[in-house]
Amino acid sequence: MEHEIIKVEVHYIAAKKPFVTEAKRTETVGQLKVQALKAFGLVEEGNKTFKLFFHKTELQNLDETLGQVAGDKKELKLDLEEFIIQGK
Amino acid sequence: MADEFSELTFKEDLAEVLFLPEASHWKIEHIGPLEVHVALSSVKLPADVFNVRLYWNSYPMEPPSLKFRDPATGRIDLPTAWPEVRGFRPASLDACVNWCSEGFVTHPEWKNDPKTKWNPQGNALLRVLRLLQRELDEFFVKRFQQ
Repeated sequence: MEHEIIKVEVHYIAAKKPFVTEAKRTETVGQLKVQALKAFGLVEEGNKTFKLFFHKTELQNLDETLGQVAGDKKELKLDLEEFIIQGK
Repeated sequence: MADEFSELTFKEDLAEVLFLPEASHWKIEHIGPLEVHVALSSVKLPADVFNVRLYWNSYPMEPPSLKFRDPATGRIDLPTAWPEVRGFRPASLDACVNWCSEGFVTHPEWKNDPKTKWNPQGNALLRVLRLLQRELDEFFVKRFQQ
């Protein structure tokens, strides 16, 4: 398959450097998220979760492949976000 | 008085922040062991510079106090020193968000919810500065007017 490998960058707000990896296009968003959490030393517990975003759109389907997200692009830049709340 | 762990961790994290290219958008002054004053502005109105005071009691385990100050006098009791963005309450001189200590005073229930409690992981100073910059860039309305 053309461009079977895709370069992925995951940015996390409290990390100075992004998590950078080369992944197969068949790899899922869920698999990438596990790697990113580990790379940033983050742990999900209870309802404390992190979410991946692509161009400010949440990647809700963790079974989606990176190839599906990237389309014909060779690189993918994602943001790993934590829950932020504002009150009044 | 700040404990040694807090001071060392804060110094390391501040050094990391200062090394980043995006730090060129911020004028950061290291005032005390766990305190910085930072001048920053919104991409929507770069000429209107705000000066924020971030102060930690314990770094990075607790969220910082976040107050905007008048750079000429150092006063932190002026609502007009504050920008209008989400969750900020210039008239009350506080920010109601889960990334500063004042937010947890207003909403103590946030402390007990794993989803909303303060997250000390990573570079806490960088987290707060990026969140602040994001608010200013994406949600800035105007400087508060009385």
